Amino acid sequence: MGTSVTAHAFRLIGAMGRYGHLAVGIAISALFALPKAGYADEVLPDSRSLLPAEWSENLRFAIDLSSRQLYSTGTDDWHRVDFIGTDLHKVFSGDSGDIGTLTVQGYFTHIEDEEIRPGFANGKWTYVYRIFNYNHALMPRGRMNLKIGHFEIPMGLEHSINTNGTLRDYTHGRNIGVKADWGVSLNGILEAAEYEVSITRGSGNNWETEGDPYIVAGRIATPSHRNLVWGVSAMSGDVFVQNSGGQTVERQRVGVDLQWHVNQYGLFGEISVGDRNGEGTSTGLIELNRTANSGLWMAYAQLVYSTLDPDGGPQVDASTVLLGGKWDLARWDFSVQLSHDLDSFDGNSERNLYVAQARYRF
Amino acid sequence: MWHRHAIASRRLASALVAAIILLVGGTAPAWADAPYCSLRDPSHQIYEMYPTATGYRSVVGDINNETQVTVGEQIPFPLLHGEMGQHTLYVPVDSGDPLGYIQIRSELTEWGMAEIVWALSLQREVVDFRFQRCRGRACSSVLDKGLRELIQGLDQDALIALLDDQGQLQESLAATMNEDERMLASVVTRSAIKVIAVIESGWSTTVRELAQNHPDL
Repeated sequence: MGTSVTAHAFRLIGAMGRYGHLAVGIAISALFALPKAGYADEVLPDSRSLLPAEWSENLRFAIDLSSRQLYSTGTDDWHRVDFIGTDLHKVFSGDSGDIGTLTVQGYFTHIEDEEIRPGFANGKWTYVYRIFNYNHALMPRGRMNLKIGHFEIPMGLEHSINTNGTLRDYTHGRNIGVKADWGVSLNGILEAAEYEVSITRGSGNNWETEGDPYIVAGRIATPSHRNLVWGVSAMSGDVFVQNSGGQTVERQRVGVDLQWHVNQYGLFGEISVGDRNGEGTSTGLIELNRTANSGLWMAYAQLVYSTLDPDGGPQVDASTVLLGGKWDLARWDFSVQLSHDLDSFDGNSERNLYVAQARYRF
Repeated sequence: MWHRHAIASRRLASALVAAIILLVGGTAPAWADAPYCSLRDPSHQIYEMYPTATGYRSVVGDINNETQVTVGEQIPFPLLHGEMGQHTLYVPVDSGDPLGYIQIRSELTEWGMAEIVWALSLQREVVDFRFQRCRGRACSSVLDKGLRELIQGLDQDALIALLDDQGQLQESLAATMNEDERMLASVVTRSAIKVIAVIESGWSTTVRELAQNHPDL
């Protein structure tokens, strides 16, 4: 029964296509947002709300705008990426407690230059879901929940430190090939651990079936609020390659990650090993960060290191150093990041990338 | 030439759209939260402090200027602007029966922002607390100096009585604490006073409904 419902849901998601996703996202955001606007301004009486009161309760809604300017020494040019989107979070509750949570983050994404446009973006403006999922409680005390929709692959540091929409990033791109994907997961908290296990489509932002891609992934970790957090992750799958005519890349990884907080400093690290189309590979990341006492700014330095063992050839490696910072100023946040390739895989040029982002939420 | 004009026009149009959006946004309420995908419930702490709870109910509320004024009248220190916005009050339940209140408060400390998860009874007395995020050494050592036992069971008036005129934990109560521990204990006590005031002002409907529907609790 459960499998059948999941299969139907997947088919529906696949059938919706690009504009179906867009329409559903806007409709959900509008339905929830309109009554909220009424409460916020106290202009619209409750009777004019489009939804019953219980639907507009426990609702958070924001409009989220941001713009990034990038300069790459690889292209020797400036590039710009803009995001205009909505962020919605709704908790459904009953007498016995919270039943489930809906999170919808859909963004019109504008990427002017073709040379930096990722494969999922087919035009200058593309509607992209960063996150779109419903997490439903299956067992008491949060022991098990079922998540369905578009969510981050549960692996490594990213699982507990969400970097969506920020310049700071971890190793999902290098390791898995996608950051968030369409699928289902079981997740929950136990007395001394948190876990999530997922099976997803393997095609990232868009639902693709060519080549039958998939990703199975999971992470179990100590509670994320502690000063010392460590986790173990694994993934396996055939990951869809954008604009390749249905090609997939076979990827497997196992990894460990660690977060250690002392005063205003954080020392984070993750390392994973596995293979990519049968070639051995490993990735490691270490980050030192500092957050202001006030929490209004944070700065970080990262070193990312990868190796690849090509068939019949010597091992090659690549490493990048990154420096970044973020300032919060009321509804604004400003961030910058500088990255410098110390070494890159054969055939790729070493480059510097300078990025600045302004973000505004209201 | 024409190409340059086209680029300039597009940039001007983008700037105008951005200016209009920001102007409209400027009239919006003064709260802006972190992206919602990063929201995490304090589930571990809720079940630690209410071991018989089978679940919890979230009640999202706005801490606005009105709440700020009400809280300011009730307690001897103000609610800061950074504490405004949407927050969640959690009501732990045992098979549907409410057990109390849970709320997280962020407090400024010597070691950065501390997040304290408060457990209160339905009568708004301190049941317990946990540090969700507290990075200094004093965060663990202050618990060995009896801070938890000092404030457990106290209501707002009794908590205020623990502080001296400067809002610090009275010296006689902090005899075994070093300077850092006393400073943190004062922050925690002020946070307890504040969380009670915030819940009573910001979630007055929930508080009233629970009191009416469960007079025996």
